[in-house]
Amino acid sequence: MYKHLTISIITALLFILKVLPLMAIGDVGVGINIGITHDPNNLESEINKYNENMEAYKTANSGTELNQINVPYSPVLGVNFRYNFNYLLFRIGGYYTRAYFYKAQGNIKISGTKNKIKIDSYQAGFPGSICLLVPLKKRTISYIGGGMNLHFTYLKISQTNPGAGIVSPDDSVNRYSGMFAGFHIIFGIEFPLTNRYTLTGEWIHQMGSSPMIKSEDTADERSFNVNSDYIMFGINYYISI
Amino acid sequence: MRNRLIILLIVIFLTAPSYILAGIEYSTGIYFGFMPSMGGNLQSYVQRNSLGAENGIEDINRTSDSSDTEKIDRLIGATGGIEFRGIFRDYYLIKLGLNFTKDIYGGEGKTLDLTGDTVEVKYSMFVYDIPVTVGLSIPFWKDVRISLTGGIAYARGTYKNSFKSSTLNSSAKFNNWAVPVVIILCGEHFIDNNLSLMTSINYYKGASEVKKSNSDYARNDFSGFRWNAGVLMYFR
Repeated sequence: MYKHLTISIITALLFILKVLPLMAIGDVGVGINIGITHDPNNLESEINKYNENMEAYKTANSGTELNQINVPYSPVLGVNFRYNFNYLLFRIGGYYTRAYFYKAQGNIKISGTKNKIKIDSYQAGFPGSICLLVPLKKRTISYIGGGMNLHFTYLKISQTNPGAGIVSPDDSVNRYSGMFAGFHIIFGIEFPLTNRYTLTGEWIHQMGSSPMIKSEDTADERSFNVNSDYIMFGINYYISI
Repeated sequence: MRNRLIILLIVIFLTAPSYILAGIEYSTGIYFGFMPSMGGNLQSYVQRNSLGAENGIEDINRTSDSSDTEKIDRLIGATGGIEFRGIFRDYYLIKLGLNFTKDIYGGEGKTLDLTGDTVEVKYSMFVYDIPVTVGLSIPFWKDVRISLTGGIAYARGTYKNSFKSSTLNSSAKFNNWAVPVVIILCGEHFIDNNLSLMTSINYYKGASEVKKSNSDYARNDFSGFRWNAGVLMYFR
């Protein structure tokens, strides 16, 4: 799966580099951007259900102690390649997000035995966008557009001591991973720092859901939903061709 | 973690270097608007376990020909607030706001539980929040400015619900706080050098911890879009 994807990406890049010299005008740029998103794989409703179950269990069973499961805030790191041609922006890129600093984890202590519940999830995406450029002044532009994404998502739900019916399914570990397509819309503002460097701010809303994906550990299956918003700030380097 | 984040934001805001503060273009504004869907899906433990609604207000509505039901609409909120802005080096924008949002429509009606019994349902919500966002503000031509900022907000709210039928009598009130992520897209049109009309779309994403109230458990969900329109006054 990854081999085919790698070959596809390299082929697309080679095509772009081959086609670019044929074009008379335009700017080619490469950029890196960082940003933030909240709950990138839309686990909030599920986490909320587990937290309600834990609180209800605590009310019904005195002596229970718990820490609720957080909904993750995730930093996002991305790269992108841009080609401005007249009033169009062609943009392909990649990004990765994982909750390193504010993880989705909690625990419940039942009769002295602690059950640590961890929800580890990441998302990698490869968006391709076509945007309409609205020049403002000098090299400052705003752009709005959309396109398709290729998503890789991974989810691992683990419990050290399952059995109290907090998590569903109530297993010690369930891991899911999948690749599927989605869509996004993007709004951005770009303005120059120097002749070749620009700064961007972007708001990306992405949508997509996977078919049912089987767990690698049990008979359970689920689908991923990647509907989420990203706010990204980046720096780009351009060459004119 | 949340407390440390709030303290950090306040320290950064108050201790910005003086050479940055000296070159800032200050403005302040007032605005009003609405929020089409307050409280997210308003889900709670009683709705899931007693009424079979897994997604709160999104699937609580049930009807049948022989029953007297009344559709429960999503909460629409009226919102208003003030904001303080600083633009430095022509493009970099930092904003601090204070907003109040209260439901003015929706959230009441009658539905059926899993046995077909009629349930009277009420939802209501009130929120105040203090967003701090940073980003870019780009001038268009002579009299238009568009800005895109992102950040976080301290949000606190009260969510009330009540479910009454012949077999169920549940009411709850949840006072909770959270630090949602905020994204704001704003456009301004200048009437004169110091006054502009503004409109903005604000997106919030975040919810509080689950809390207990009487026999119910729920969180306060501050997620959703808000649209505002107002005026900004620049101090030049």
